[in-house]
Amino acid sequence: MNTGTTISGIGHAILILWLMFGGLFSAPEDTAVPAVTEVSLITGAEFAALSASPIAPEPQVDAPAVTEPVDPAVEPQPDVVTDPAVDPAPQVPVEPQPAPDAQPEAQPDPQPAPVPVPEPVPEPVPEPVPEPVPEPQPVVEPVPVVEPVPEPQPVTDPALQSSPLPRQRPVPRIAPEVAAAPPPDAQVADIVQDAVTPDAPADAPVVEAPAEATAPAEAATEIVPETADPVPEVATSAPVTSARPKARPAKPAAVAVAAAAAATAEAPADQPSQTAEQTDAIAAALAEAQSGTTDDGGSDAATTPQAPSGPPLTAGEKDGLRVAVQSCWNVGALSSEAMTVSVTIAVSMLQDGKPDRASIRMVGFEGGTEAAASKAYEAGRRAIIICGDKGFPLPPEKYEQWKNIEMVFDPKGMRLK
Amino acid sequence: MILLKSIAVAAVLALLTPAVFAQTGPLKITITEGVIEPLKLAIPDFVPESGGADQLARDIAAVVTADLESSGLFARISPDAYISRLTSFDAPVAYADWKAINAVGLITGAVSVSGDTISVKFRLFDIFSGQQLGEGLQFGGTKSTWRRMAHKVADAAYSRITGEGGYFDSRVVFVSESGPKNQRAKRLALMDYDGANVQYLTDSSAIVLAPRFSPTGDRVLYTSYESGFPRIYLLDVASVSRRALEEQPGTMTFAPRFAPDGRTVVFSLERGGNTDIYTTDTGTGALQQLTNAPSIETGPSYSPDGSRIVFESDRSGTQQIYIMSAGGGEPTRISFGDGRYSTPVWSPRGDLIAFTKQGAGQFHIGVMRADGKEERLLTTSFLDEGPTWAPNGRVIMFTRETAGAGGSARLYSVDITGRVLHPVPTETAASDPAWSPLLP
Repeated sequence: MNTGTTISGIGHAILILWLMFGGLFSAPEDTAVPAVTEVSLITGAEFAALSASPIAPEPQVDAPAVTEPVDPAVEPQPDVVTDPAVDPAPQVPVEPQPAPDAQPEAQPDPQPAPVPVPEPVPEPVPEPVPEPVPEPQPVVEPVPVVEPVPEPQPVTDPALQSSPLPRQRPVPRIAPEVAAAPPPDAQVADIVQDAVTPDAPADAPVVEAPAEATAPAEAATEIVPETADPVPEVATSAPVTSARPKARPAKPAAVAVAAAAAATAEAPADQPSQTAEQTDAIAAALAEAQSGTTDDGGSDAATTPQAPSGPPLTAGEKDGLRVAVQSCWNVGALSSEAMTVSVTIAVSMLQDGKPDRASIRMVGFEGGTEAAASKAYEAGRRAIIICGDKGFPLPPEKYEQWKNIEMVFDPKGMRLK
Repeated sequence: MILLKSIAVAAVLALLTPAVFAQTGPLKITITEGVIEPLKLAIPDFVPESGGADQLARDIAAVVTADLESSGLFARISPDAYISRLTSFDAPVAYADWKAINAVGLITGAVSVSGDTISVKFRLFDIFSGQQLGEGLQFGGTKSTWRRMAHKVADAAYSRITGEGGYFDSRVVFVSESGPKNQRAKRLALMDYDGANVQYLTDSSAIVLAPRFSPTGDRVLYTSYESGFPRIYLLDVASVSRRALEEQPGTMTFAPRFAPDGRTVVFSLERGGNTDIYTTDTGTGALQQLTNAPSIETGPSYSPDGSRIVFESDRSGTQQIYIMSAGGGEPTRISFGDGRYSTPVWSPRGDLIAFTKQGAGQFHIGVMRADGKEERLLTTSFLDEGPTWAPNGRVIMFTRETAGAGGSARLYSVDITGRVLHPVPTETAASDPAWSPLLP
């Protein structure tokens, strides 16, 4: 068992035990106990007098609703988020809720407008539609630079209530005025100018030299330290850098159209309406995210080289591969010196689980001479070819993870001592 | 409710955690366990390229097969399973056919006869890489040397596959025994490593013991009782002529062995009831005493570089193994196990020392590192003794004697893993083997 698996296992065990017995979530349960109300004792005569009275007197004990304590953790929520001017809902005691995942249970307040409520739980199917929770448009859309703090929208969606919206993003520069984020393809400069491209049909040979668009560097009025809360680094509503699950089949064109349509349809009436260009930009960004490419023609792999996407192979799947290879690794004919050599062999795999023979190569060795390493490499190479002839037992859906494999053949443990 | 929440949170974290340990490059696995079994070779009969070469072609292929299989590292696939038939030495190799029968390697050869001379060609192919392994080789000689040519083919194949030298084209000098156990006649004999081509070097008029080859294989040292006392003789193999090496009245000399330089001989000399180790120069006869102790020091053997000598001594009360400088000096004990250690022999590769160990009523052939560590016992029997190393340092030949009045001595070989143990066929009972270097 490797170190990573061991650390992960210990960490999980500690975490689960802590969660189960640490009392993390016991507070809300404890707060429900005060449902007990005080009861005063009265005499029989007093009770008879009360029963005989045609008009019921005022109860000596308040209703439970009055005495029921409100969870201090929940209490601030309506005060902070709900705009009393817009939200006419009475301050009804809210049931104690474990904040984020209780969103669907929140009673819908009387809404001034039929705002389309997003799905409480995102569908597992890749939904290019703006994600319900992490896309509070008023917050992450910094386009209205003049407004340091955006106006809270008349949306009382619980998801929005818990969003730390009025927080400036951390930027690396301080300026007297808040500067908008430059376009992604613009060079940072003090002067704002648009991109200039040569005019092809012009009669003059060359009138203008190509120049890249420039804009002042993004700045804020104060330094906003990074907090534990994850704040989106990219201030745009379009998930330009969001990596979508690649394993799911997608139709980029259709998705883009659907995304554009959804973005348009879900825009609240009183929100700043998105222009057609913005919609197209969002759709294009979504399409790029789906295809894994960027504007500069690169790919995600270019920014994070050699980083396969998708879930990694489990320990069992790795063990299956290891057992399959070692069953064909015959060291019986290795020389004594070759038995002291640890050789690393790289191989590219085909999607059917078979090795690409032409790709098998030795990438390094430890111990022994080069001649001994050569023999050790041949033994390892034979193992890969022989046992890989029928395909190794590897999950096809994780092909990106095992497309390239480096196998270390270390016979030191088998060496006779 | 708390439990459910906790499980839910734990499940979410469990899903997120792998991302922390996600691989950032090629998938990496480490294989530390493999299998140890013979490599499967296809060795079709060699192709006769001239008239009268048919039988020779089959015989040579058979010797090559026997050599490789005797090493324990290779196994020949039965010819009945062959799909391709080799009809020409230069015909292209149908790799798919050989791969289909799981052959790792293919040895092809051809034999041609011209008068009393023969020519043997061979090629070795790596089936899974689909290419020839090394260049083809051709050997020429007389008909009487066909076995040597077969051994050379086997050596070449062995060396190319394993990466270490072969040992098939070598000889063994040994003591041939005949007669009842209490009156046994002993003769010095020479044979191929596989027991073929036996040649007697002495008659049985005197007891002979412990023959040892020179580093070049052209001379043999041995101990004879023909004078009534043990004495060392030097024998020239080609002329079968001999002479006494060291003659000092009132002494006994025995357990000789050549130094790597081929001129110096180290041996034991008994004088006045005490035995010490000496060296002598075969050219000048200069004598040098290396040990001076009241105990018995004997069985010396040089390290391959000639800088040290390993020997046995009972100075501690029991026979143990010691190492000292080739020029003498204070020895260092390297054996500390239970039992008695004797007949140490340094490996030609210098990494191991073979020895005989006696303990608990059993004899063993074992090996240990030169520092005495990693001792391993390779054999166990009523009487195993007298190890000698093959030229490549991977195989050990020794004497195994059976119990009882009718018991006899035979030669056995075992590889340093202890897995490949088999008797060496000899016409008579045999003991005291000494392996020659590879023949030129």
